[in-house]
Amino acid sequence: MNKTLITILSIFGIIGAILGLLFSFLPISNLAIFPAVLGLILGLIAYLSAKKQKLNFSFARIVVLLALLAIIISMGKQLFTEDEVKADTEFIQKEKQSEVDAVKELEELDDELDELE
Amino acid sequence: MFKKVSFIAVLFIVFAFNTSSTLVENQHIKSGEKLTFIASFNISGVMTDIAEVKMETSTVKTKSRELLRLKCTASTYSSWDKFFKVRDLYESYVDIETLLPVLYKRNIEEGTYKKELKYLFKRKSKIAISTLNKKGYKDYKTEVPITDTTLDIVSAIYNARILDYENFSVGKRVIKKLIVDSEVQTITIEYLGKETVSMVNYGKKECYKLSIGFGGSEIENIKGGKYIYITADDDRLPALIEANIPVGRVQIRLSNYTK
Repeated sequence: MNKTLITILSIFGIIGAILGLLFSFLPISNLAIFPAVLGLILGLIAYLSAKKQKLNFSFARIVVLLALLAIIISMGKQLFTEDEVKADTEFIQKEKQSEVDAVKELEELDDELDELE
Repeated sequence: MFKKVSFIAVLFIVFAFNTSSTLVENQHIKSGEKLTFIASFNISGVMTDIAEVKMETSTVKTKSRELLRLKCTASTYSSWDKFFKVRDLYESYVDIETLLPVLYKRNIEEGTYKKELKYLFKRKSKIAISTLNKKGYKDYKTEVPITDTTLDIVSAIYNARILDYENFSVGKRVIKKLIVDSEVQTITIEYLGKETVSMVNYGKKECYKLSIGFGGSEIENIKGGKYIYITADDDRLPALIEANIPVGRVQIRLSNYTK
């Protein structure tokens, strides 16, 4: 594998790794695995090829590390965090007030119907 | 996209459970029922949970009558709140026997978008008074012509659960009208028979499978369509709702219930 191909693989790898990292910090962190794994595979190929040919492999190594980091964060979030709805007192209050208002409106409607009859 | 997904999630749970054209007496829905759902979207086979949807029933007393309050809320999970917070409240106050609505209220907060909508059903006058409050509209009232069986979207959910599916033949279609966004709209349901569904915490259950069409024109089976599964037992629980969207598939799964 020539140097240009190794560089191209590393560039695609770093794009995948960065996308994976970005996704891993978002609520859609479970989707981070796709670009991160792609980044890891490309980074590993570039790293091993560069090492074999005794070329500079530091860029490829960064790709591998970033991709691994994205995978670890993504999997960690899957394993150790749970989806929950935050207690929202304002929303609960709104629900209660809505019922109180509704009863008033229904009673007004009842009165209106009584008058019609 | 998130707004679209949350909108579809709420609308689906709502639109999907339409009602039959004939009035059915309620034997399944009682006060005190609490249903909790997980709303998710599926991209490339990976499921991402977005929001929690709750449906609750309670009794409400006015001076002269007793009604059933059907409350439906949709709240995004805390991880989504920083990006797109949804706190939607839908309510329908219905007759206990027929589940026909008297008052419908919708109060939504989706990101920075807020809207309040209310329909007061005046059956004798055959109109519903719609009152809208949102940016640019303050107590904007319109009259919507209704029939004796016109529903709102929340009461439609519950009405669908009380239909007599055991006596439906496969392929039977039901068309019904309900008010959506201050307009009377038509929805078509096709009964597709029974299917077994794996529920989140309750194992496998036999369900009635329904296909939903909008506008009454056709059943949309293209690209997987839109399906609702209601448990084929006395509880008539909405076990699963599925719909295809351009970026994947939306699923609303029943995760917990108490009666």
